Amino acid sequence: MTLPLDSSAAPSDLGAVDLLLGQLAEELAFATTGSDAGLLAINAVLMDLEQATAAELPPPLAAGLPRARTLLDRTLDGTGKFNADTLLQLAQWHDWMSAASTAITTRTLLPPLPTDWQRQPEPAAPATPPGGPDGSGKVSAMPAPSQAAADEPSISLNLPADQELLREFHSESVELLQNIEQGVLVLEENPGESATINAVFRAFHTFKGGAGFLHLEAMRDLAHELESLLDAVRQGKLTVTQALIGLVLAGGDALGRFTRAIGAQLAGDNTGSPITVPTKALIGQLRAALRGELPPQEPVRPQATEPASTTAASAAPAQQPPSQPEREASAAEAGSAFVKLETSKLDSLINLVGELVIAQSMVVQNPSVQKVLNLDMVRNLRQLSRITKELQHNVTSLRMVPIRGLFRKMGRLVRDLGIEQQKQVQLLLEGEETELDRNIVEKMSDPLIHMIRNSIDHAVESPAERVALGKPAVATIHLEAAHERGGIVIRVRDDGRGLNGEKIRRRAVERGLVAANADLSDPEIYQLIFLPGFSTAESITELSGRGVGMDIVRGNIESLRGKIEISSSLGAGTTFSVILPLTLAIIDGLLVSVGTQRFIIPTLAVRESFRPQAHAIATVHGRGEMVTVRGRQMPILRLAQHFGIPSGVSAIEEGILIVIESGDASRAILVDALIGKQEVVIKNLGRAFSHQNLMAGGAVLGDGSVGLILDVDTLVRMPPAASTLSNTATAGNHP
Amino acid sequence: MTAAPARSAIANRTNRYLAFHLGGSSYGVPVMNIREIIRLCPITPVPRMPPYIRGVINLRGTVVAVVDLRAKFEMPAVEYGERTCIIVMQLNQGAGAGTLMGAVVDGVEEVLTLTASDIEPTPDFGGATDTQYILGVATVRGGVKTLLNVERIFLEEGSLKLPETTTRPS
Repeated sequence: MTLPLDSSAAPSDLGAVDLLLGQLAEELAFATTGSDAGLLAINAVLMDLEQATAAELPPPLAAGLPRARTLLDRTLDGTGKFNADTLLQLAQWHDWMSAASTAITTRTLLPPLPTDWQRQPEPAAPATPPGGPDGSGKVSAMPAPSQAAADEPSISLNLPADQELLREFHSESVELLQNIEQGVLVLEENPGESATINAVFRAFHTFKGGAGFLHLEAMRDLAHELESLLDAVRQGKLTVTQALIGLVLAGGDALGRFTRAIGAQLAGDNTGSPITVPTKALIGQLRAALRGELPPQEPVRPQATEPASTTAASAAPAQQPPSQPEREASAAEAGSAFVKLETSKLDSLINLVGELVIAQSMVVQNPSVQKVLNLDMVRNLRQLSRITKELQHNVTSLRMVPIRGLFRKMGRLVRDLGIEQQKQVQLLLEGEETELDRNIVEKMSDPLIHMIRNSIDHAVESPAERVALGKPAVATIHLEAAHERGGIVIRVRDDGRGLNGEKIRRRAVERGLVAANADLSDPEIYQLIFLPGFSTAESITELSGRGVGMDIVRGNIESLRGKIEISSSLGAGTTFSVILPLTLAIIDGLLVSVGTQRFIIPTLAVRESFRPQAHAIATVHGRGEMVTVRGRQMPILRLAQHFGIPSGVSAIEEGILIVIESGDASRAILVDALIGKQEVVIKNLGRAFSHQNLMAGGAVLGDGSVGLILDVDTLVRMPPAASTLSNTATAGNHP
Repeated sequence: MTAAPARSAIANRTNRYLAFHLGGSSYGVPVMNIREIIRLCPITPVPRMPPYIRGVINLRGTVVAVVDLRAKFEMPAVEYGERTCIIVMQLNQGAGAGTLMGAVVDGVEEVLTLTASDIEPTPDFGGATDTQYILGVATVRGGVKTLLNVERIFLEEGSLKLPETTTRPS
């Protein structure tokens, strides 16, 4: 029996299944007759497979699963140990699964399901006729896109046949849209820049090609109009005006809405339903603009579903779209080439390399290997170590992305808000090249948007007001990222009116958020704006002032185990500093030993380290041990004592003092010895340690054990000699 | 199409338990919660944590917390021996769903298939001990095995006093 390739359950994400099959292969390789080694692990992976959804595990593969279940249940119910027959059958089953998975990915014919595997619960019910290997079996399983709202053009996706192409088109579109947006923002500053005009033109052209190729007429038509408009600009027939830029952005937005809807369907939402985005009015305006009749006002946003002024359907361009979308456009701004890949693949690669490094060092350090005197062998092993190390270094850096993309997104936001509120704001970016774990970058998007909205809504004055105050009419928002304080700091700094401490305090008291007689410092008052339900906006705008926002900002940042600080000066501006912890990021660490244990201190937080001289140490009453460093008294924290570990050194002069700093505070910590410097990937310690703040995370060390990364901020702010003295009134050298 | 049979298969399998022992007492944990069993490996201690948290291990690149079940259940500590091992469990429900936890046990026994009639509801221990951590008690070949609710046990901070069921034939 040959199962036809069921193209209705499209092979969307076989990556996860392949990963599980890989794990099974690994476990099976170690399973031996007469032993139960790996039995439970195989069972666990099989359970994962069984719980996979139809999208993750296409029916033909799912049909094979009961076979393994039968074999495993037989073992579990019987002796609990593998026998030779079961192992052989399991291996055959695994071969079949792997072959079937490959067949689905490559769209070739599936291997037949062996007939003696008949304990199938039910046939996998192929719902549609087989699609050919070239995807030509265009299945009419889709409902006709007739019920589209009004008579706005809509697009329907042929998901079964075009899955892969659509996926490619989608990711390319996302990139193109970004290029368009950035290009347009450049044009706004610099209307005549022909390179940028060309880049935007080419982006629309590529868009048109891709959409036409996939029969997405509504998108193709819109992209065609936009391309024509840009072409006219390119040839000097039209000039770049605010209205024209608005139109182009509106066009990009409409294409973006199509693109997002395609993305949603690819992810399995509303599959098969037609996608409608109102474009008629916009196309009408684009044509008018092309005739030289630019709308006098701010152009209509695509959301506005106005009655159409012209019909679009008849004007579909006859031009044959290129079958191979042009790639130059996306490479227009940077000359480098990129490969896109799934993050799950990246993560498993990083983990595998970690294992490789450990296995490698175990081989090299094996006593019997070390006894070998063969020079070739020694040289080869050294080469192996070098390559492994380099591989690890390269792979761990893969997950890091520059913050540039996130920052650039804010350019559009500032522009839109500025126009909307008739304020003039420029955004200056700094430290765009700072690299962050991509997870952090993703999660920082919402908080940043909120902070910038907040600045423009509340802090930035109107141009007239600014001039009256003697400030430049154009307000400036600085957005900066930097490595600082053992972590990454993202700063949003405006030159607006600053926070009014009195007003905030009054509002907080009114809302019952704080007692009327509370004794609060300025920073404490500023922190009040993060409380849920707090808002000082005189009027409520569409975007902010509803008392949501800043509390969400803080929530998001705290979920990244970061913190946010505010400094402000009335009339001169406000700075929000988001301090992101090292979690998820790669850091340079200083490996130190205390007793038999090893700890990692983020190098960025280390100012210096030295072997202390006895005469530089003094015990100050109420403040514990102090050391004089460059003429300054600094409190000492003995790590061994603090952690309750027997120290390997008896006198302080035998150990090493490391001066660590965080923010404005610093402290000298005593360790037994420095072991070395090492770049490590920070791993979350997980739930069990979520209540402690002594450790910022863990990292896998060269020997495969876990090293703990000290949370510098906690150590620095610890009351002096907390374990021995109760007088903590004077906390270290900071107020 | 495959979801329904898969689900019923899972339901059947909740009756399968991995049995292990701590001292003279024998326990069972649903196989659904078991990720793998590994030999005792070096555990990095984490300072200033409760004594039952032994520390963390590196499980192929993932940092996993390890709990000493003896300490967690307030049983006297013993030297780790030849058969001591770490059962890596996965929490499947509640706030910690997906979390991996390692549990140090004295030794793993076998995988048991229990029918509903083998399992008795948690007996009343007189209110002195917490019984919400126990799924039930099973009698297998004359021995009593306490079936543990892993999710409840690991989400609980602090140690627990479990009822003594020292009827394992020795």
